[in-house]
Order: sequence, then structure tokens, then C-alpha cells
Amino acid sequence: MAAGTALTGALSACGSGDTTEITSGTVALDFWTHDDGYIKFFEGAVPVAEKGSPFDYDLRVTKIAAADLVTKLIAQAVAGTGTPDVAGLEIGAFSRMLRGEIAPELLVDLTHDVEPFTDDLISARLTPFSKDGALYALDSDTPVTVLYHRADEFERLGIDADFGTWEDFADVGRTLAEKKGLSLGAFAVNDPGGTVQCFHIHLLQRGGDLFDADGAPTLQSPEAEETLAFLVDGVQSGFLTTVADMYGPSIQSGLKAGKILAVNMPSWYSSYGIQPNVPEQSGKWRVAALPVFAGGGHRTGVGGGTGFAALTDKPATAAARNLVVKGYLDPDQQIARYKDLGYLPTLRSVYDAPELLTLESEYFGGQKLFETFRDIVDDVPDVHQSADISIMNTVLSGHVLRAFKGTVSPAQALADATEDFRGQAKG
Amino acid sequence: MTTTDISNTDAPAARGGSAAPVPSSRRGSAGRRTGSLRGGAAPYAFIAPFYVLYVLFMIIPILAALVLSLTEWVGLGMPRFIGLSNYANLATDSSFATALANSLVYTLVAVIIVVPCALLIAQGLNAKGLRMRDLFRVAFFVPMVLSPIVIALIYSLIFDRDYGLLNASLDALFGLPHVDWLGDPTLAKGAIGFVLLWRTVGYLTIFFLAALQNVPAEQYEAAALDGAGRVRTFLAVTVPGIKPISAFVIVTSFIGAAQLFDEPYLLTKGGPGEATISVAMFIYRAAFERQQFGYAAAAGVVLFIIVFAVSQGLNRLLGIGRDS
Amino acid sequence: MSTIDAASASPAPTAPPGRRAERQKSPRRFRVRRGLLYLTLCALLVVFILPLVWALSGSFKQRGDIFATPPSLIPSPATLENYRNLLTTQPFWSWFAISIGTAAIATVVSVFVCAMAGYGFAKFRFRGKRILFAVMFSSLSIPFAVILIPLFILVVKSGLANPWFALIVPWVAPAFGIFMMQQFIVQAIPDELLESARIDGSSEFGTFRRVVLPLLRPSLGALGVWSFLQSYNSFMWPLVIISNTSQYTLPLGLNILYASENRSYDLVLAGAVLASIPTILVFILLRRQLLEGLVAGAVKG
Repeated sequence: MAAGTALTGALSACGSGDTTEITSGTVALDFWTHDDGYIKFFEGAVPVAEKGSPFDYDLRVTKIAAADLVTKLIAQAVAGTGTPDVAGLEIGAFSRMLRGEIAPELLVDLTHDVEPFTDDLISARLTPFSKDGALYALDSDTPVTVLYHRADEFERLGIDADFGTWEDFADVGRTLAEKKGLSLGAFAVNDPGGTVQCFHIHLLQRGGDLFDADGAPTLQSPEAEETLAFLVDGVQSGFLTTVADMYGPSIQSGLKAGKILAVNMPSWYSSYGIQPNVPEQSGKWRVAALPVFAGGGHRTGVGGGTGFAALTDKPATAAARNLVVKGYLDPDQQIARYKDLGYLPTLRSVYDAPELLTLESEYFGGQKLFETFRDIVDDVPDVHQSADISIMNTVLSGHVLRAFKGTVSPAQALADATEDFRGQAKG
Repeated sequence: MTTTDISNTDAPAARGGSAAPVPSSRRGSAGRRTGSLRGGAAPYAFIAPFYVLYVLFMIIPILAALVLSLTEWVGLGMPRFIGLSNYANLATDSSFATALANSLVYTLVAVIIVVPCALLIAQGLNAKGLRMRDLFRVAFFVPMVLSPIVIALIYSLIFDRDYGLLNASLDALFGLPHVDWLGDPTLAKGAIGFVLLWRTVGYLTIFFLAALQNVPAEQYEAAALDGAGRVRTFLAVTVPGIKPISAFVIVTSFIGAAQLFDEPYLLTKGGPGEATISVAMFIYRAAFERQQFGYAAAAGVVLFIIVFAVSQGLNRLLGIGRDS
Repeated sequence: MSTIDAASASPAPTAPPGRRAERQKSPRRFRVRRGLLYLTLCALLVVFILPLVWALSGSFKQRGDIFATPPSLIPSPATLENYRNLLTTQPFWSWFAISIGTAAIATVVSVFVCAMAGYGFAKFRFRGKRILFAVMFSSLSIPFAVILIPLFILVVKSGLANPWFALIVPWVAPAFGIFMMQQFIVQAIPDELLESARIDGSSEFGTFRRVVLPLLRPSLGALGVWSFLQSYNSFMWPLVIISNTSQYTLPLGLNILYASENRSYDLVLAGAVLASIPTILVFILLRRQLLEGLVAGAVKG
């Protein structure tokens, strides 16, 4: 099997030949991201990063779909050439970097860079991008979940957006679904990642999680069971509408027709799911803190996020590191990021910035959204990552749907999902 | 294996009315021996360019897949040799079992439904004196040249539960409630099977049509003189006439369905749950969503063994002539 | 070689005598049968054409009208907005160029190597012919997914993961192409012709270039169309090997439009129409050669 030895020899990643670090002057920086917003933001952050540093940045941007970005990153690392200097890793894609030694091999450990900010950084946003105590990327967002709702319809129907508990919410929702055929929520069922995210944001709020700190599944917990039972009740009684996914025509038609009056989704959802789908409903929507689970948990859940990382052992590593840290941890930059992209700050102190607190959102009828965000941000739950999130998405989505159909009990669905997960998650 | 000489290939040319681009006057005597030229090194020079590329992009990757399947590799660093562990894990992986079962369903659809449909359509198109023949033919063959992804995209807009054309039409015509075509495990398999049928049936029809046109008219006349009915004529004349090409059609259809990727990937992402995931999608997912390259390679090897064995079995069963 | 178009080439093909006898015996039964046949074929026609017509019509509708209920096949108002948006907001022409360009390169290479190898197999006897042929024949039953991973690694490791190289790799040596060519060569090139060229002192390659290739022109067209379609319509390979959106092929581009958050189905429909025009045109123009080529390869394989 000479082919075998040749192959394994060929596969070991050979570092790129030239790793003399550039310490000053003009740096051509290869920058990969999946979203135009980040391109705009980092181009704006260049002057900030240049100030007090020896570098002049020349950003060379490549746009790649979120899932492909990691594939391509690893492929180029194997090829030993053509990796970027800075990469934006969507949280679900980042989990793939946790397998084996991929993250430590490729990414700069930013633990020391964030030390000065330790007291101020919202630690819940560091966990998902860390492995074995080292931090590999800085999150762009603190994507807390809130209740988007149609204030005009709530008023017409005499519903108060301050529900108290999810149980109260369910009572109101059931009546509404039964009498008027309207729902107070939507749940994605045709897209495994979306299905799990809808479940996960509720689960996190309830105080549970999909994984523990070691990446082992924690589906068979009372919290998970209670959360799923609540969602099953919602789908079966109709106060949650099932949609193909949370972004496309399927939810759009529900929102347009005024059949879906509320959605529990993260802070970024306004720019991805609500405003693009129903621009004509400007002024009718509001944001409120979520009801809480009577059994305990948090005031908010969390979902999504994109971490920016610098690539290690490259000529531009120091410059890349400087750009990520300065661009992302500068308070003014965090304010700008919210204004331009709608991503919430990751520094706690920025939530008290008057500039943000007084900001009125036109689409949300002049509401000062930041007041709501500030109220709940201290209760944002931790999220544990696992390299096997993709397996979890596949496995769990199927069993959640079975529970919705009523073919299995919530507890049984979670037990089956755990078993299937263990069957698939190997090596 | 194959026959070098298909004695009926230029029969229609002899029948006249041929618009074949091949010079029709050259009827080689049946059983002409080819390969009469002995050119020392020349034949190797002729086949070399093909074989260089072929070895590089087909043989080496297959050997590499075998080697890789014995390792654990996340796509970076050194692969770790783990013997047959990947295969042992595949054997107990419920997800792989699901993928195999789904692919079995797709191949059964391809062989048991698509192939007979293609034969029936070919019979219909072969009817004498058929008007608008060209229109029918173009319509049935066009899916063959469209990109499977374009077809899948159009069908995802047709099957969509909330706004799709199919539900909208059923609703408008009969007031039927909306059906979740892609969200129900059984219906989703059916939907993918239908798209597979729609995409491939025309392509397979081409081969049956050619075979039907090659059945000598005298045989039909003889059967008619014997007073044979439609069924008997079909069994006694048509079936033997199309037998050689049937093997090709069945094997082609089988292999096409065994490597189905585009439809499940695009229409259902393999869902709901894993109800529609195919083996090809399983391989893709293991490597490019889960960083398990060794595991993916092992799944590929298993797929190879199964498809190879079944194809060979089908070829034997359907008795393709053997000599080259 | 059988010809698919034989019937349409002659305006009034005669029915085989058997049928004619039947027609005289019971004209009514024949008419009923014929009626049923037309009915079935027309029903099938609808099944095959409707989705395409609907997609075509949708591409000219405003985004909000595409899924209007009840569905309609006539865009009103008809608009070119989707096409305009597609061409202004997406690098569509770049996808198009890469798709067409790489398919063209793959086609030229594969036609060239298959014609040569097909000739080698059809007209020569040599040691190892049987085994070489057998190896190739068995590779017809290798699903692409099997070699996907190693091929990916091979291309990436060789540092050639740019579209102009990577996208042609799987299509340059198609075994089916050899069967096609061999079959054509056996039929179209009489040995005497080669013998006489050889007696004239022509070299083997000279004979191939001057005598064989000109006679093979139609079949090269058939193989070319087939090769082109293979590459142009492929999805799985570009999906894993191309990640930079500016280097996408058409199928990848359409997929990302559809997979993106806002499901730009309006742009997808416009893109699907534009992406399908070349292949449908090629099919309509060259269908005769293509269909014959396919059948030739099948007979051989």
C-alpha cells in the first residue's frame, strides 16, 4: 500500500513557507466573511485599528457562505496556502473547528488580548468561541431573545404584552388560536438547524442547554422536557404556527396576513426576519422582554452569533490580531456596530451609553429598543458548544417533529434523540 | 461485458428513411472483425491520454478512499490509522442505516417505477402515424438537459407547504387543505421519488425508443400472421428485441438513483429528521459538515461495494453479451 | 444506427402491416385506442411542461405575484424586474462565464481523449486490451460520492482549487464517452479506409487526424454535448470545491440565492431560466446527434 503512505504524507498540513511576521507598514490582509454587514463594519474599523499601531491596512475581502467558510478554511490550511488572515465564523460553523485540534492549529489564542476587558466583557459570549480555556474568536453580538409583537393587534384584541409567565402566555395563545385562528409564535420545521434553534432559545431561557461544558448532550433534563412539552402544546393547540423556516416566504405569508402576531427570536431577527418580510408593517411592531418560565430559568434566551478570529503563524498574524481586538473591543466601535448592523454590544458598559439608550427605532414606532435590551442583558444565559452540533441538529430536529405530531411523548423524544446522538457522535 | 458487434445497429439505415449522421451505405457484413490493425506501440499512444487522466482522477482516488477509510482524520494534521473502526462504527450508526434504506427506496423507485414508465412512454412515442411526435419528444427529453439543481429549485417552489403551486392549485380547484409534501417523512420520500422520475424518465425513454425502432417490422408481421394478441406480441417480439438495451437502462437508472444527492440536499436537506437523507448526502455531511473525512471515506467504500456488486449482478441477470 | 428521428424525417411513415390489418378489421377500436394514446401523451405533456412553463412565467412576475392564489400562468403585469435585479445584484455573468467556460474546457479535453482512446479500442488489437477495457467498464458503476473525498483532497493539496482547473477534473475522462466513440468508430470507419491510408505511408496519427476525425464529426458533436451537460449541470463537486461566491458556477449561485435568508425565489426563477437557455438551445439544435450518441454508448456499455 505505497499509496497509503504517500497519501498520509501528503495530508499532513505543511505550514506555509514564509512566516516572517510583518511588524509594521502596509499589510495586505485577507478577510473572509459571509455577510456584507461585516465587510462594511471592518472597513470602517480600519482607521481605529491603525491608530496607535504600526500598521497600514489594505483589506482584501472575500465573501463566502457561512458553512463553506470553514470547509474552505480547512481545505486551504491543508493545501498550506491561501488561508485568510481574519475570518468571521458563524457560531454553528465554528463548532466544526472544535473537532480534533483544528482551532488551536489555525487560530490565534486571544485569551491575553481580552484580559484588560475581563470585567466588562459579557462572559456568556466568550464560552461558545472557546476551547479548553483558550478563546479563539470574538463574538459580534449578544443575541438576546425578545418578544417581537404586533402592538396594534395586541391593542385591538386587548392583549397585554407583559404576560408574566410562559404558562400565562400559553393560556392567552390557546384562546386566541381557538377563537380567531391567530398565533403568538412561529416555529421552523423544514430546516433542521432552524428547528433546533427555535427549541434551543427556549431551552436556554428555561435554564437548560443542549450540551454541558464537556460537550456531552444534556437533553434528558427536566428543563428540556418541560421546554419541549411547552412547545408541543403550542404547536398542537395552535398558538405556535409551524413554518418552513423563520426567514422565507412561509413565515412571510403568516406575518403579512396578520396571522402571526408575535415571534420569540434573537435581537438580530428584526433585520433578518421582520423588516425584510413586512416592511409595510413599519410602526406596528414592538419589542418586549419575554415571559419567564414558572419553573425557573432566565429572562432571555440567546441564539446565533458570529466570532471573528485571526489566523495563526502567518506574516500578517500580528496585524490581524490587532484589527480584530481593536475593531471589536473598542466601545465606540461597539456603538457603531449596533447602529450600522443591529448587533448588540458585547461590553456590558456600552449598554449604559446614552447614545444607544435614547436611540429611537423608526420601524418599531419610535420605541427605544435599548431599554429592553439593557434590562435583560445581565441575565443572558451561557451556551455550551460541541463539535457535534451538526449531529444534534439532524437528530434532534427529527425527534422534535415527532413530538409535535404526537407520536411520542416529549420525554421519549428527548431520550430517543439522546440515544441517536450517542450512536452517531463518534470520533 | 460488451459485444463489439451489434448486428442490428444499422438495420434502420437499411430500412431507409434514416437521417442518421453515420454513412448509412456502409453496411458492414454482420460479424466483421474489427481490430484488424496491429500497430505495435500505436494503440497505446492512442489510449494513453485517456488512461493518464483516468488513473489520476479515478483509480488513485479510489485507492486513496480505501486508505483514508482506515484512518481518523478531521481534515487537518496527520490522519490517525484506526484499522476497521470506521466500518464498525458505520455498522452501528443508525443514521447510516437510514441513509442506506432511503437510497434503497430511491433505487427501487428508479428500477421498478421509472424504467417501466420509460418503456411505456417509448411504446407510445413509437406508435405509427403519431401526430405531434416531435413536440412530445422534445417535451419529454428536455428535463434531461436541465440542471438537476434547477429542477429541484423549481420543485421546491411547487411542493412548498404554505405557498407552493401544488397546494395552491389543489386549494383553488378542490378546496383541499394544504399538504406538507416535504415535511412528512413518507410524503417527502414520495416527492423526491417523483422529482427523480420527472428528471430521468425522458432520458431512459430515448434508449427504449431506439431499441423499439430496431425491432424488425417483419417480426411484428409474423406475429400478426400467427394471430398473436398485443400481450403475446409484446412478450414474444418486443421484449427480446429490447433486451440488450434494457440491461443498460436498468443499470444506468439504478446507479443514478444510488448516487442521488441534489434532490434531497436541496428539497429537504435530508429531512424531516433524516427521513430523506441519501448515502451520497451522508458522505457529504460527514466530511463537509462534521469534519469526519475518514468516516466519510468508509461510507463511500461501502457504497462502492454495494453499487458495484448490484450492477454486476444486474448485468449477469439481464445477460449482457460478453466479449470485447 | 437506429435513428430516433426517422419517423419525423419521413412525413407519413407507413404503419407495419400487422397494425394496418388491425385498422381495417376494427377501425373503431383503433380510433378509441389512438384517442387514449393521445390523451395519455397529452396528460404527460402537461406534467412535463407545466412546471417549466410556470417557472418561466414566474420569472416575469413581480415578486409578490409569483405565489398569488389562485395560481396563474400569465404574468400580469409582466415585468423584467427579476432579471434586472438578478443581473445587477448578483455576479450572474461571472457564474455564467465560469459554468460555460469550464464546461467547454472539460468538453474539449474529454472529446479529444475519448476519440483517441475509442479509436485505439475499436481498430487495434493489443496486449492488455481486455483488462483495460474491463477496468473501464466496471468504473461505470462507481458513484461519484465514492471518490468525492479523495478527489477533493487531491485537488486541494495540489494547490489547484481554482475553478478553471478544479471544475473540469471529474469530467475529463468519462468511461461512457469511450463506449460512445468506439461504437461510432466501428460503424463509421471501414478498415479498408485505414489500410489504404497506411499503404499510402501515412503515420498512425496522420491517419487519425486526416481520415478518422473528419468522418467522426457528428459523433464528436454528440459526445461533446453529452460531456458539456455533465459538467455544466453538476452540483455536488462544485459545492465542495468552490467556496468563493465570485467563483461560483450557475447551480451554486442559484442554490445560494435560494438558501439565503430571504429566499430570493424571484431571482432564482429568473436565474433558472437564463441558466437553462444554453442547454435547451443546444439540445434543440443538436438533439439528433446527441440522442444517437447516447444510444451508441448504451449499446456498447
